[in-house]
Amino acid sequence: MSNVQQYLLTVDGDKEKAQSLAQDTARGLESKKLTLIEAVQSLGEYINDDDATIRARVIDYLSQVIGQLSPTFLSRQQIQVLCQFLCDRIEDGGAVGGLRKLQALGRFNKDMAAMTFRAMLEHFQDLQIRPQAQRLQILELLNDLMSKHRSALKELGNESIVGITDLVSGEKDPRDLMVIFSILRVVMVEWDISGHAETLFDAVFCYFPITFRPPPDDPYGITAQDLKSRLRDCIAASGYFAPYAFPQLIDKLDSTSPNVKKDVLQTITACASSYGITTVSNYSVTLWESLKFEVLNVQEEELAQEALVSLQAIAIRLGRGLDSTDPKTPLARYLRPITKECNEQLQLPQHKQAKPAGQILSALGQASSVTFFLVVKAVVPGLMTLFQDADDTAKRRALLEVLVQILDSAIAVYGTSSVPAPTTEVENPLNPFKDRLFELSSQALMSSAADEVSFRVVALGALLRLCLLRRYLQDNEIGMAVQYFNETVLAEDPSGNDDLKREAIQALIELSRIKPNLIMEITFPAFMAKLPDASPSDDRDYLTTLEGLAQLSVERHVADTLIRRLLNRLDVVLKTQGPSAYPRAILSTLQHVLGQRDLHLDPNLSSYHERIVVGLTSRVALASAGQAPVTVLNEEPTLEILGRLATMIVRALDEHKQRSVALQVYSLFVDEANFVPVLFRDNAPKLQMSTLILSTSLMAGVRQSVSVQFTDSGTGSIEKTLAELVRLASQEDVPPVRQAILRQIGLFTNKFLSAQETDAVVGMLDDLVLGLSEAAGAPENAARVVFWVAKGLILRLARTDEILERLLNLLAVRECGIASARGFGLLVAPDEVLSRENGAKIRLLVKQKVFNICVPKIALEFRTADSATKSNYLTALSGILKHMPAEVVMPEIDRILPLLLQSLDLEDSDVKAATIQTLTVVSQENPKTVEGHVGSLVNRLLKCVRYPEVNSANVRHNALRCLRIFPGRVKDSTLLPYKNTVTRGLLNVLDDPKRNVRKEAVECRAAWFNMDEPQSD
Amino acid sequence: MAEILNANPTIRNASDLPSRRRQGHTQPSSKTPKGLFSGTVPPSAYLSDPFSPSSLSDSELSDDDNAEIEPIDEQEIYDLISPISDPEHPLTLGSLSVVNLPDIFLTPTFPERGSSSPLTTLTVLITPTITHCSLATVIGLGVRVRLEQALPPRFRVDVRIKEGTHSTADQVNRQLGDKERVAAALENGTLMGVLRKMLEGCESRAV
Amino acid sequence: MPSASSLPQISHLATLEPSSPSRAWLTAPHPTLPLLATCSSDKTVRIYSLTTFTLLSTITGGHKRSIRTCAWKPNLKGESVLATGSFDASVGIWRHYDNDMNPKPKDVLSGLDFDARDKAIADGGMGENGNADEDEDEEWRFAIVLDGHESEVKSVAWSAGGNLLATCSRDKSVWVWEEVGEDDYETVAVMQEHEGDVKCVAWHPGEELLASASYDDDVRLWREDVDDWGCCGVLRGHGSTVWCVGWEGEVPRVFGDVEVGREDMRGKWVERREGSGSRLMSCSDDLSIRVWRRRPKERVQQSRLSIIRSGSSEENWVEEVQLPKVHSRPIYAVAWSKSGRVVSTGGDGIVAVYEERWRKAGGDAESKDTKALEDGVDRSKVNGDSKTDGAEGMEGVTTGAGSTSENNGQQEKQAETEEVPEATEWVVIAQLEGAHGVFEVNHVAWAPRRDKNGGSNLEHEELIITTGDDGTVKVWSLDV
Repeated sequence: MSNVQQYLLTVDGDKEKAQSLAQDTARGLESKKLTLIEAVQSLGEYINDDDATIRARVIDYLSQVIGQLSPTFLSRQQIQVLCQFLCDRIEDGGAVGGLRKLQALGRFNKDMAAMTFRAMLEHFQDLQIRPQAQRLQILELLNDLMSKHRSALKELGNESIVGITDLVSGEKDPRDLMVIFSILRVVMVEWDISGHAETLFDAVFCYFPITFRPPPDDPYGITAQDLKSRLRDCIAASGYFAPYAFPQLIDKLDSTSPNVKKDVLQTITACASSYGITTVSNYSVTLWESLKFEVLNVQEEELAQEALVSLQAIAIRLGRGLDSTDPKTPLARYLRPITKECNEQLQLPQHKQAKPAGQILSALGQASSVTFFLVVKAVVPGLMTLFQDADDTAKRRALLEVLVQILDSAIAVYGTSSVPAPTTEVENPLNPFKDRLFELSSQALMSSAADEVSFRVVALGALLRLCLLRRYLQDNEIGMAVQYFNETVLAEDPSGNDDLKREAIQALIELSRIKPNLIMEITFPAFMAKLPDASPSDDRDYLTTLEGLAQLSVERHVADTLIRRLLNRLDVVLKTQGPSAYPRAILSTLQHVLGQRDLHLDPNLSSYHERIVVGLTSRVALASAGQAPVTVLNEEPTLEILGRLATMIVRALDEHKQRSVALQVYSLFVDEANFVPVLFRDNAPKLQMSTLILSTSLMAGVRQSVSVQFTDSGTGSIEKTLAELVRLASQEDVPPVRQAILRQIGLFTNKFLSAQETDAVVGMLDDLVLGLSEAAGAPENAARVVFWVAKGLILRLARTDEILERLLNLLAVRECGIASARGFGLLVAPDEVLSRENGAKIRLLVKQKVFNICVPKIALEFRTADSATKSNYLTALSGILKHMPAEVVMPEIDRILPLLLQSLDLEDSDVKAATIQTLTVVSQENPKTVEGHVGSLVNRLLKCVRYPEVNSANVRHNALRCLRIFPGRVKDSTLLPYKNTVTRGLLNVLDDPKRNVRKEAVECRAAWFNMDEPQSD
Repeated sequence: MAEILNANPTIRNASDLPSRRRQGHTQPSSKTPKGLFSGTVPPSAYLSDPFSPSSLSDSELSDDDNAEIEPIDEQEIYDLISPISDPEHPLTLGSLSVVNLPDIFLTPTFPERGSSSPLTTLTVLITPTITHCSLATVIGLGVRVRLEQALPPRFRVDVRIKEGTHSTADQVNRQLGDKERVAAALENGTLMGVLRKMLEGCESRAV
Repeated sequence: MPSASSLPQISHLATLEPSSPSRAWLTAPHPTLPLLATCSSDKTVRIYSLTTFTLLSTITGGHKRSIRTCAWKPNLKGESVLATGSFDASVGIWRHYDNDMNPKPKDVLSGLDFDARDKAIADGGMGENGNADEDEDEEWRFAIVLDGHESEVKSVAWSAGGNLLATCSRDKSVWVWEEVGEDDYETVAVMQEHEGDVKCVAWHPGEELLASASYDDDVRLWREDVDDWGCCGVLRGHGSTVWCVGWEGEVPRVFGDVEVGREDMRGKWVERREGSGSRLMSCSDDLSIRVWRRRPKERVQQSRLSIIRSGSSEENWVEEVQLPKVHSRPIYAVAWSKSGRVVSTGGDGIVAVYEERWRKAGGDAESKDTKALEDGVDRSKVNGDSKTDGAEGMEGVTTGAGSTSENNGQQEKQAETEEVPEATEWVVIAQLEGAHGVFEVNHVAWAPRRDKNGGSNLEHEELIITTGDDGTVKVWSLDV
């Protein structure tokens, strides 16, 4: 049986087999076992079979064979024959495929291409009635010819234009259209279409605007945007289209659909950018006339922007390669009506359309230096007079805003002194106005009433831009501006509004990039001079000054000077009496500035160490021992800030230096004669106890490899020290000091404790837990110690399971249950001292692990727990969840949600707050999970907003935020039954004594109100 | 595009609209330096101690929690209604000066009874952008709906057109004052659609 | 004014549970059974027991928007029929067979055990906010919808006989429907003289005379002349929307004793009252409550002229008096009790009860009342003209309807004041603030007391039923 026959039999059942048959024949031909003639003859009678499918398969077979042949095998004649053969039978399925293969061959020539093309036109008049798959194949053949044999088709000239447009007309399928658009675009761009512009235009424009919505899971992945941009390329392809394109596009601007309008505007932009200058020029004014409405009567901000882009595109096109400001150029003609219109709008500067007018001018101004020149010449003089004559501030501000917009385009055209723009021949048309601009903006900023904030803000913006504009102001003028900015920052400001100050600081920062010297010479002294030498009693102006200085110290040497000056100033201040706020602020500033830089590489590091760590610390110690005057440094809050500063510096020290620090952790760089460390002493005075805050900070900065030692009583053993710290912690009642001691405990158990020492400490923990569970009276301190020891160990995942096990058991104990429950909130809570950057050992999986161990146990115990201790489990849970990432909580959410709901019934505001926080996250991350519980959730949250009751303002506020999350996230059908309950339940909160609670309540109600009832009418 | 009744109204700069901040209501918190350093300087370390319940952990709110009462004042009313957007411009009633702080009045409904009666009458006078603005009723309705949804029921809300700013002020006032009509209007789907669009601006970014 | 000691108290007897989740508009007491129907913006009507003060059943479905109003059809046995009017512009007629185990109306009045029948009516309607369940649907059948109004229906009312139903709407029209057969109603009149929403309609207790109150500040009277319904009087005087109108019972009652020496005055008053029949009371957004009286025509003349004179049905109504001013927000409802007392309420949440008393000599009455009465007298005299001359009479209608022509006034004043002296005065006898907390009160009605703990003479004690924006219905007793 011949290959053909077998092919016919197998092709249905087994494609591969069929393939191989074709291949076999191909090999036959190549190895000359049989000739092409034989191969074709072998098709025999099938070729004329009445059954179309048989014919199709035979042709298909042939095409397969051709496809299998090596590209160079067939001779021109053979191709010629086959091409003829297939063209005759082009309507039989497979022929098109065959031709696609043929035309890919090197020896396929112009005439064959033409023949194929003609055959297509002749046989596929009825293209649209054929199935899409076939249409696509035909179009792809055409596309192939277009790309490989373009000249052939091009030579057919009009015949091909008409032919193609007829062939593709009426197509609807997006896949086909993608091909058609690209074919047509080639014709539009490369053929001479002068005689057929309208035909071609209509052929594509009939699809405008594209309203195609791809099916949900569209396998071809063709988006509306793909079609839109290809269609747009066609419409913009040739200037010949202008007479049809622009009028019709302008019509379509009246569409009510924002999407259509957007498409139209972008198409206009595309046309304006690609059509020839003369063409665009012919329509430029008409386009302006209709585009202006989109901007002036802005409905959708986005559309206004698009329209501005279109207007700009026209200006760019008309201005391309143009460097003459001659008023007779197309560009000038285009701009004239625009500047006229804008000038009119600017007569009423505080009316709605003035702002858009400014945007138009700015957008055009940026188009090119020439447009900028023309715009400025046409607008700025009038603007100046208007400004001079303007009587009220609102008007002046509006005008100034327009000026600012123009200055923006100036910067776009000429750049700043740091980022220059491409050079241009056209001189900056603003030059003649330089002095007046500088003067009027300076005056507006400095000489108008202090409470005219918004006006002065605009003025400041104008002044800054003048400074930034390249090759505009002289340095001395910029210097003046800098002075103005300084004064603005430092001036008293009655209107409790700091917008202006903030803007001024920002301006100075911007200038410090391009003119650091000016900042150093002018701003810096001015600011320093403003800092008082002694704590002022009430006013807190120094804060603004300090903030300013801190922000300005980006430049390294600026910062260096600042740090030095501040330290000196601190010494002076400490010599005086007065509130501690000021020295604290100075320390905070230092912390900020030092925090900004990489201390490891800082050459001054050692001096910081000397002055701050050693200097101030020892000073505190001495004072506490009565060896020096007590200052605000000895107050706990100050100590904490100083401590943070110390930690930061110590961290940066090299190992060697750190060792010396480690030795001084408790002696604080003072010899025993003058200060005795407080450890292993009974009832050291309060003042000295508070130095432990610094000890903690130093210890925190020391890296783990440097073991901490103690000057006194040479006891190296950590356990001993730990025991001592535990003793101190349990009897300490000054919160900050106690916290410092507890953190030391944490640092020891987590950071400095060696693996082999842990067992001993765990044993110690056992005793502590035991003591706690038996403790009578207030167990808080005992609990604190237990949980800090535990925290240190758990974070490094040392014997976590058994430790947690013990802690969980505490929940069942009446006396210490609640205290312990609260402790769970501590375990994985972030801590500024026990942190990674301080070298604490915090394993990645800690949170996950704590969660996995505790939550199931809590959920379980809770059921059996007696009423007295039930709440302990809920408290513990909320504490754990408080610091759990959502991805850890989510998988377990179904199990814990019921508990969370119940914990909302507790009195404890903290627990409620934490729980609500969790619920909020849950409902945000994964609303599905709460869907089943909406009912009880709603009712409980409504309880949490009641006032006056146990709910803190914070709880009320967060409960409302949580409630507000549901609409939009949870299905309406689930929520609607509760709509009324919620909106009514919130009635009273609308009268809450706290403003921000009321605000939240209003928003929450609005969210629920806006859920639509299924409207029956 | 629909015929615009007033294409070019005067607009006020957002930063010039009355706000609580502008009235100098801010007193610097004494606990920690404000502004820049609030970041660098966390509130004193021991403030977050889980063992002392209801500690001052929630910084922003509960320091003076439940202590000081902040009564609903004219500014708050203004903040409720000024962000409502005009039905024909993407601008707020505040920036169009349709609603103005001085045109908001809170008075006890029964002055003679003093504090014994919680009822408070709120009068809001709105100023249409042009004297023949046929949208005045819709705007007024928007204001009234917003207030009825946002204020506790002890408030009696009267929304009226400001004297001499509108040609048919009386009809509009009658309609806005008619409880029955307002109630019915709120059940009218199409009208509600318009109102919702106007009120969208009021809700701050969804949480 | 009564002395502080004898001042009656309005005391809270019960709040009907469970209440509507949203604004309730109006509560209609059943003409015979101890039932209340409350219509709510949640598109339902709740039926409460006046014996147990609990929800018996809820009528749901049928209306697409707020149900604004409802009215019980009078004169029915064994069945209750309720008409509802909704913002969806339709009027619904609902039927409900009173169960066989119903006590006879007699028993009902004597207040014997109701719970059995309550249950029967309730039929599972006790469920929280009474979600419609099937058997309840069996109970209350949406018999027929009366379509015709173009916008919100605001009030419906059955004529005393029960054969006529009046409805009114924001479309400014008043419709009269006649029941021509089982669930078959026919429009007998569509009257559109009002120039604004028609807020309320109310039938005269005896005659087929309909009163309507409107957004156009007018009260209009309607009756059938020959076989055509038409406006037979316009009562002008209010300065703003008239929210509600209410009729006086057929038997008038004036409280207090007549002073010795003023008996003849009472005689004159009674005579005049007999001549004019039930008076009408109206309350308004203008914070006033006004009493209107008909100027009767000479019977002889009327009977003679009525054949030839077209529009002989025209009536002369005059404003007799304004009640003492109590309210400081719009007055939404006023009701006249069987015993002759009047109760009013409105947006200020105040409930006030008034009595008409025989005026003492020496004018201890508040000058305000006096002025009001004189005012009324003044007007009534003007209408005096009408009886002398038909043509004048025609004009009298319009003048009676408010546009007083002053010169006429002067001439006749003397005679008239002699004819009708200032016999009575209206006084506030009880006042209650915040009846529904801070919420507005939309409606007030009278109902006979029916609960067991009530006093000995149950049916004589009158209860006050208030309906508020908070969705609740409250029952108050007036301890005189």
